[in-house]
Amino acid sequence: MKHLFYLITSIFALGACAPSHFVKPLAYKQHAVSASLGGAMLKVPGVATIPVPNTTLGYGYGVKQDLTVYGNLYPTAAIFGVFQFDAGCTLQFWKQKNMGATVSPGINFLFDRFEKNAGLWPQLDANFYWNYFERKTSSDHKDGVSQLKSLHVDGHTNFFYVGFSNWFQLKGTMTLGLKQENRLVFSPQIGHTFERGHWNYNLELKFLTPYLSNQNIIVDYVSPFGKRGGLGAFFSVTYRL
Amino acid sequence: MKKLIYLLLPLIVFTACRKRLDSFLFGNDNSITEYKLDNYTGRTTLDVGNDYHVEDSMTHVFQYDISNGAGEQPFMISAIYTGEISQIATDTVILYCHGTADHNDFYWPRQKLYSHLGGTHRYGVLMIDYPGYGLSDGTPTEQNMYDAVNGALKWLKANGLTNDRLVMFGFSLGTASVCQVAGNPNDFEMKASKIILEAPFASAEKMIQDASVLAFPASYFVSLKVENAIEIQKATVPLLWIHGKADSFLAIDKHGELVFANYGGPSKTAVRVPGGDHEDTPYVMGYEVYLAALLSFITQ
Repeated sequence: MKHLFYLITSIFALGACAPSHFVKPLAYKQHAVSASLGGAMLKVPGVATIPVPNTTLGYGYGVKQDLTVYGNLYPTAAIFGVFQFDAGCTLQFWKQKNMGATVSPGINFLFDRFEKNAGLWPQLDANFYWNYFERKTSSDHKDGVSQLKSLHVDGHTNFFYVGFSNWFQLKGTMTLGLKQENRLVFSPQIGHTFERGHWNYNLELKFLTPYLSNQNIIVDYVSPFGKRGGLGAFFSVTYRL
Repeated sequence: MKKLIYLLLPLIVFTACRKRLDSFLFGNDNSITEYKLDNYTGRTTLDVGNDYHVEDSMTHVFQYDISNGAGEQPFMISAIYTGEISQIATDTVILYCHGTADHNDFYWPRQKLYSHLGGTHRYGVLMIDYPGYGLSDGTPTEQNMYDAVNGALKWLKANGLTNDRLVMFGFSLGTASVCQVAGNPNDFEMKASKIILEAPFASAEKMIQDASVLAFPASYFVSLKVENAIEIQKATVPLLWIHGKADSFLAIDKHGELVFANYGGPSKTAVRVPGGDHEDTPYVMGYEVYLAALLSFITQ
């Protein structure tokens, strides 16, 4: 019976893991679209250890120079009849020459077409990033807005980031009336982004609930912490307009 | 217009998709063309050696047909009965509902073991393959599984079995059928006089939430309604519960203990097996000790 739900829970498993959507804010009035692939690493018997092929499609917009709003759809979940959507914003609250820190509050909404069960999970992410390579290209745009955009889309930048993601469970009970013992689902992450012109290429590792046991459940999670938590691996691309 | 299409596309995908993950509950293998029983060389649930041999003359492979309740054509269910069919009218019979793996050949060692409960063929033992398993037709779904079990009850009843001589025994996935019958006896052909649950799961939703951490409804993944921990509240017959304390798949504290605690009937007995994993509890206990526990419950 062990193989039975291998792909099941994995679709949105362990904190419905998805990568950080915007570690840095977009430029003022800048648009961006993004896509990501990846999820929790699982041992699938007879196959291999693979990341779950969860996917997202997203859109972001720079409301202010330090504030970006975004939303994401989850096509993999949709294949299974679950409408999953998240929306939030990324606020840069601290910035130095080559580094900065952002916070991203948001909500996750899920709804299935079969029994019409809807659920809402607030989320709060925070990240610290460090540009270790930056090459900006000058531009002759006349207005300030375009010039700010050009600095973002013409330059080459590499940056690392570290942070954490929190999902909040509003319901106090689980199935069968059992007490919800994990109101806060905490997962730290590290990542790296290559900014190349209009394109961002991002790799992220998320350490999923490293404080919770991953033993005696129906899924074999792979974790750097052995019998606790799981590891999520993600690749994403963003195109900034 | 383009923007509208882009906005509607995810909605179209969402509404068009009907993919459910129920099939992952069922680890069925229907590639076999016959039951090989003792000559089966594939993996099996236990290795009971030659100590629990069952003579060919006492092994009856047969089929019965069921309707899936959706107005479709009936389909055939394959079953194995060990013991004298002619004595069903007077014997106590164990209806064994196996787990999710493969087919009857996988669980044949268990049927042999139970055929020696209290002496060779003291009890008749009936084991069936659910739809889509082994030689049974159909597809494995929760309702089809219940229909197949009801078909087995109908067959036993037709052969003279009465409720007071029926013991239902479920292992892992098979506990769903036993709890369903125990909780809703009027929906089935017969009502068991006693029930045995080995390594039961509390509910499909519990399995999902344990793995996902988040309180997702089961409907996000499956259409399964299995809620053993709820159905068992309605049981009115004695219960024996056996569970390995080292069950690495259905943890005893997350599943078995919940089912046992929720049992609402007149008498319950627990056997928690130190070192027992999901599949090997009879071996870890020792086959004779295991059989003695079953016998004690059935005869008390």
